Amino acid sequence: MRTGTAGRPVRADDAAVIEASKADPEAFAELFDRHAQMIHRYIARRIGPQIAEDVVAETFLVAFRRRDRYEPAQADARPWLYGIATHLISQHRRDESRQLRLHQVARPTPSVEPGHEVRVAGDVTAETVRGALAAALDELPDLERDVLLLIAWEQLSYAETASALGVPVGTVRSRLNRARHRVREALAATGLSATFREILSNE
Amino acid sequence: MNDFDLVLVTSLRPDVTLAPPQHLAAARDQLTAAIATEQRGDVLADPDGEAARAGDRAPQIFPPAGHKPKRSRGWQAAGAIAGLVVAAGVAVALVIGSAAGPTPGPRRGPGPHHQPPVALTAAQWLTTAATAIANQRTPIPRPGQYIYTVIGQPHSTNNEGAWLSANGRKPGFFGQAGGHGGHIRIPPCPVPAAETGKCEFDAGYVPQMPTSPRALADFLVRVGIATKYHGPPDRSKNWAANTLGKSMITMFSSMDLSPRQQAALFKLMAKTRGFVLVKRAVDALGRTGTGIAWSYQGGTVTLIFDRHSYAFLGWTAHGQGGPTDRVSLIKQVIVNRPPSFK
Repeated sequence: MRTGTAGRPVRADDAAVIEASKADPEAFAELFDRHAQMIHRYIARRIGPQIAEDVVAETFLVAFRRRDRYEPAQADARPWLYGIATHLISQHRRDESRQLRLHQVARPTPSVEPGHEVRVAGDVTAETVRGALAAALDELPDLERDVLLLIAWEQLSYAETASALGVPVGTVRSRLNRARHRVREALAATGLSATFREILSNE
Repeated sequence: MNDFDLVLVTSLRPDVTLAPPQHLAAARDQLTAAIATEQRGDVLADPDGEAARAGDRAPQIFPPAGHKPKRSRGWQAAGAIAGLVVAAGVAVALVIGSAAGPTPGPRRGPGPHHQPPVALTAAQWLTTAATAIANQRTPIPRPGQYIYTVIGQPHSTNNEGAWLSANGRKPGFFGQAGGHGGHIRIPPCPVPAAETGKCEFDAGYVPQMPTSPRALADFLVRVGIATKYHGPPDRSKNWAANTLGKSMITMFSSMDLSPRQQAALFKLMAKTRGFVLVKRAVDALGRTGTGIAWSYQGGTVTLIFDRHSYAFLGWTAHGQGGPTDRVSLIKQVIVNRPPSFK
């Protein structure tokens, strides 16, 4: 068996780490080492970097306290951690709103792998709809925004999003549909949606 | 289905790179400390499971430099001579304490059987107090009434009074106790307006104030009683305790808190680092109680509570040059209207 920090064995999956931490609490630190950077990035994207470190710390503290309730069949703990972080983000609603408003005045730099659609989207949004889009996200009901951003920004699957938020997959679908409908309505008001659809259809 | 909207949403994703591990060292240290605490077996009781649901630490609601209790503007402006005259239209006494006796009245007093054992930490004392007072019954002010509070020193000629509208929809007043002399008029500011930043919060009784520690902390920030901290971690020492402690002074010295709200405040303090227990603390009226103290930027403030009833008695403050403040909560009653200020 391989060994990690301080000679601790490197366990196969997160569920094994969490299970081991019930008898050996120190083992839980390995979960932090595995996922803290990713969870921190998610939090920073949503509420800004200034308080992201505080919230990521709180996320893992909550996770540590709740580890007895972790579902052992879930090998990957990321959805669980995303869920805790999302709950904590909801308590920083003003910070998230401020973060979204920043998009209305500063050009974002898309960090996704830039396929043509995304490049076009980045160019267009930079000049035309950034404000409307950010405002639409800001005005979404919290539960719908959580679903939309976990899927669009964090690339979680429907099932992972459902696991993160503790809701059925069907609920994820319906919330996502409602969120997308609201976003499209906001974009339609800018006159962009038809233009952009046309650009994509010509690919 | 065309995914153009999802593509656009994705394009709006902020460009945040993965933080290097050293940037997350403080967060990891907190986890390590929690692990060590559990291994030592000294995890504090959490009767309502709040820690499990919403995190173990209190949210970081720190004040900016120079933060003072909001109410101080009113108290400092109160004028000269005033007696302890009961305001016109007293309806129900809320008995907070008596200048004549060492222990206050029964309002928040669950009885001696709730007295905590000795050698407690501040968190343990606060948790015990929260449990003891949470289910008490106290008079509830009607929306049109006022909460009249007097604070000051014994035999003082300038004790200070506050008349705050129970629902914040009428003007409030700060002035000399009894309503003599000068006063300051506080514009109406109910909770919804305060939460949107339209005015400065001033209400005497707030039934919608949450009774869970986490929600209460958020509420205090929303209405501007407490302030979030966004500075670097190395400058945050005791700022949470400072803003929360001063929020307590602000509220206890002008507002009527329900037992469950007061219990939530105690729980929130219990989850906040920086408070220490002072076994014997004496307020300005000479009443001996239990102190909950914190230090911040060279000064120390002690909130003093009755040992048996957990009622708030007052506070003392010491700066680097010695005592700076010693104030007692002398009276708090529900009145139908404020005095007729001239």
